[in-house]
Amino acid sequence: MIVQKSGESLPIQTQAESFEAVFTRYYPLVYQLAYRCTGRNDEADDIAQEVFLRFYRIPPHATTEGEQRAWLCRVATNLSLNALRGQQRRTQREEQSGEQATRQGSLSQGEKSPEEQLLVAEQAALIRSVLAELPERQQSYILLRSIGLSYAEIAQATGVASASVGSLLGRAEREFRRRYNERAATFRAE
Amino acid sequence: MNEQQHFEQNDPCLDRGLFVALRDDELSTSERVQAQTHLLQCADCSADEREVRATGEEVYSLFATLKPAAVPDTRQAFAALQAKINDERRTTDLNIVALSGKQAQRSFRSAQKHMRLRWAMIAVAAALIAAILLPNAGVLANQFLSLFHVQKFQPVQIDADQVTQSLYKNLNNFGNVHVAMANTDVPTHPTRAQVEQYIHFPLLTPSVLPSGVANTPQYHIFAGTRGTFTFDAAKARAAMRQMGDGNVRLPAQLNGAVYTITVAPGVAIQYARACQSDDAACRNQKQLGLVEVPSPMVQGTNANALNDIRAFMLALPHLSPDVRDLWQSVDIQSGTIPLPLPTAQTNVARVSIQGVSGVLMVDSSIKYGGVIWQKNNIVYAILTNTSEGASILATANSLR
Repeated sequence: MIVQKSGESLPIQTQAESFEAVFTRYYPLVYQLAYRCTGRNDEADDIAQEVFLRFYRIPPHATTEGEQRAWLCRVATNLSLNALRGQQRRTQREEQSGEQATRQGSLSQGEKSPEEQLLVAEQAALIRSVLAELPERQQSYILLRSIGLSYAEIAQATGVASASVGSLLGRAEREFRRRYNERAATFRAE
Repeated sequence: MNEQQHFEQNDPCLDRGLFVALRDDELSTSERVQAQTHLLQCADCSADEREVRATGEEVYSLFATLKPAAVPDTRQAFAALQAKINDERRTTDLNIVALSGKQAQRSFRSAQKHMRLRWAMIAVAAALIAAILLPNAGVLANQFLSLFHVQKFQPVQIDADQVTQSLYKNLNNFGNVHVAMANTDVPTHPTRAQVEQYIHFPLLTPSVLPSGVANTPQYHIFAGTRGTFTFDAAKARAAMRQMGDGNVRLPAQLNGAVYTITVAPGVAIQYARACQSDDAACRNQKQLGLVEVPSPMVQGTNANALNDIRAFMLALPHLSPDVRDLWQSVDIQSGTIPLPLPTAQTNVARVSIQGVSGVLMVDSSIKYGGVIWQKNNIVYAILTNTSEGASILATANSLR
């Protein structure tokens, strides 16, 4: 997990803080979030660009850095999960029509043997597939936590109360683990 | 965070959510000490807590394997984005930036559907304004300690379906809304002189109109209105239970709190198309409407009433993110209210009009456009059946 302390309580320095400064500060975070969902560099970059385009077109009404970060992560999460669901649908269609699904993702593990690379890629595909199966809100909680958002930021990004985040996250994690272990066992049996 | 509800005296075991927050270092010091003390004495909870930790480690170690090998160079990525923005500037009307590049391909039927949704959104905007409003007649004006004039509009992208499906969008689920038009006779077809007598601010009219629009203004006096919203705790609790938020604490001071919005008399001016015939070519000619009303005044029963309701709404766990954005955009200090925009339908740009900031909205798929701004405590809005932003701005800037 990326541990990054929230700037929640810090007021935004000036209303006119340059767009470039916001981009520089948050682009890596937004990119990583998108990549975790899509596993594709090109798609992650497209999503990150779209997030900042939206920010540029209509800047959110955010008075603290935490609110700004939460807004960016919320838009990035929505776009990334949409992209993930689209990928899953395409993969299903390809599998149904007997085509070989192209899996990119973590194949760039330089030191690994081809077999190891294949295993890593299959595991990444399984994680994303299980994530895509979860109820939408649970997908968001896990994804946002996995990139290091605080409970206050998760609350802002998803519209729930901060006090509820622990319980909601706990349920999402259990559900993810249950489904993942089931699918992994089936996969191993095959 | 406030996890106090997890420490119920009658329940010997703690909520698992508390262990998740403990694991993530999201508890206050006293909550952490209480939880850790309990764990020392309760074998069941200790087992739960270990399971929560193990689950977290397993799940997030899996997600850690999904991280990219490298993040692209930020400067290069910013340069690419700048190129995209410059491209959009060149290809769109003025500096209007599209929320989505796809709307031009939408069918007319789809456009019509979204037009209806847009009106629904305008209704939500009105409801939000009403949300922050009015007292019943028996309450003295001097009891309304907090007030603001609407001075700015904050465009907020929303998902129309999400908003319209939420119980939380309808203020009637939280109390009683009453809207009363001013009980005053106004002339039906007033002259400009009659309008100027009636309204209490200088009437401005445009010297530039889009081509095809006749400079023959027809005036309609708006007599003014007052809306009242009285918070009803019983109604609110029922709605909250239905939404699954029954356990949320409802601040006692909200029950019976009264909010008002008052809009003083204003005018709507209609500019018809220049041609008179009923053929298709004429029917497609442009028309334009101009509204000038004093900035709505929003009041609450006490100094904190407006902030109280905003904070309460924002604390509802099942408030949809879009409705949450709308509430978050209400800024009492700067007099800002949200201007809801259905996602991917309207092109929006912040523009400068007569030296103040305004919001320009156009939709080329259904050939509609408008602009809204506030100057000297008067809100001006222009709506026309053209999506040519330059033409709309030329009209707005010619008001004298």
